[in-house]
Amino acid sequence: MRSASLRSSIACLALTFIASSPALAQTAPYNPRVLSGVWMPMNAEGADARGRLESQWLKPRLPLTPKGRAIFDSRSPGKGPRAALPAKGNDPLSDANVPGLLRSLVYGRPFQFIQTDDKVVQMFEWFRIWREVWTDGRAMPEDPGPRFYGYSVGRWEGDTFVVETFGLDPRLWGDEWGMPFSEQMRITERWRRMDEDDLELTLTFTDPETYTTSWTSDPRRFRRQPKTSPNGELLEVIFTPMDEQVFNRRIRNLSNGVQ
Amino acid sequence: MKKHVLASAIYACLIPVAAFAHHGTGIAYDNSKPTVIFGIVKEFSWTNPHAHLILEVKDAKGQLSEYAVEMNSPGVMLRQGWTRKQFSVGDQVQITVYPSKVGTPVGSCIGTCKVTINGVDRTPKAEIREGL
Repeated sequence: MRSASLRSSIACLALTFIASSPALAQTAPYNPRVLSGVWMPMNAEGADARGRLESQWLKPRLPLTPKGRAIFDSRSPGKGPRAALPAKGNDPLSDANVPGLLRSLVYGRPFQFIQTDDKVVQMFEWFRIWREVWTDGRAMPEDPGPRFYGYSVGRWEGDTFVVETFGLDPRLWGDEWGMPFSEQMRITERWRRMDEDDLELTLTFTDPETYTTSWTSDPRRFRRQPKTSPNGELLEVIFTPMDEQVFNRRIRNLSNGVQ
Repeated sequence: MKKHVLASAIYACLIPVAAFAHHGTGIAYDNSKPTVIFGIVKEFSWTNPHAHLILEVKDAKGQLSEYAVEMNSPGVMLRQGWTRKQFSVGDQVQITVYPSKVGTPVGSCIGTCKVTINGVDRTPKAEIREGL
């Protein structure tokens, strides 16, 4: 009788120990095919992406065609290795034009993925704009553009979400440094959950008018933001001409010595 | 009255302070010369792309003029604990900025910069990002 009681006590202690162990305390394993949530850009080392805000897509020189080079050279960005005084530049963002798809992906602000049966919606905090990635099996339209955020269709290859985008408006820039592209630009995004909290993106760019060969970006990392965190909900970050004009007059132009 | 008490601060009197973390947005400011500005709030504009603070300051000759401080976007500032009511007209402010390279009366306070409002330290915390 005493022996049975002892065994019961030991079993209870063991169960208590197991139940309180870190392994069981963790939540259920993440589903690599679920992208929903708020994600914040990080750099490749996991540090704050804004520390190198001028995030280019590729470290080596871009394989520009002569036409692509001419467009690139005509651009005067306020950031990056070719940075000039912003007030004397020609960045379309300085007039409160929308950043477009590529700059939204490279900029250091969060976005949210929402998955439905037939599409993945990507909502960008920056300018409070969204795009749809259709996952209902439709083909890419022959001529979907020009669109500031392109036309996107997606599919799963294993646990990688592959997105094809076409029809981008080439008046916008591809990054903060003035990366050019033409209407022929086709982008392949590859999104992959590395673990529960980390998401990785690489992009392959194909645009014979602007680049001599297809090229692939450096990986971009994103960190999941819990709902209870300061970044768990997207804010309203909208640039408007009426605000931009005041800012240019009072700050941007003045700080650059432009009256 | 308050205006006369502390508006005597002089923005032309540059006080170097230790450099701190800064994520600049352009090349207009001299990040090697953190500079303390004293002034009275004339206006606080809580707008994109960047909020800005307009201060009334006195120069070395006692002449009143305006000094503009570029701050971060309201969204980032919210995440640093700022609010749109952070400054009120008439507040006495001491703020560390990076001055314009070309010498115009504009400086930047983007990220974390030391701020005192009516004698109380209101230096914002760094933006919090989950996982950092």
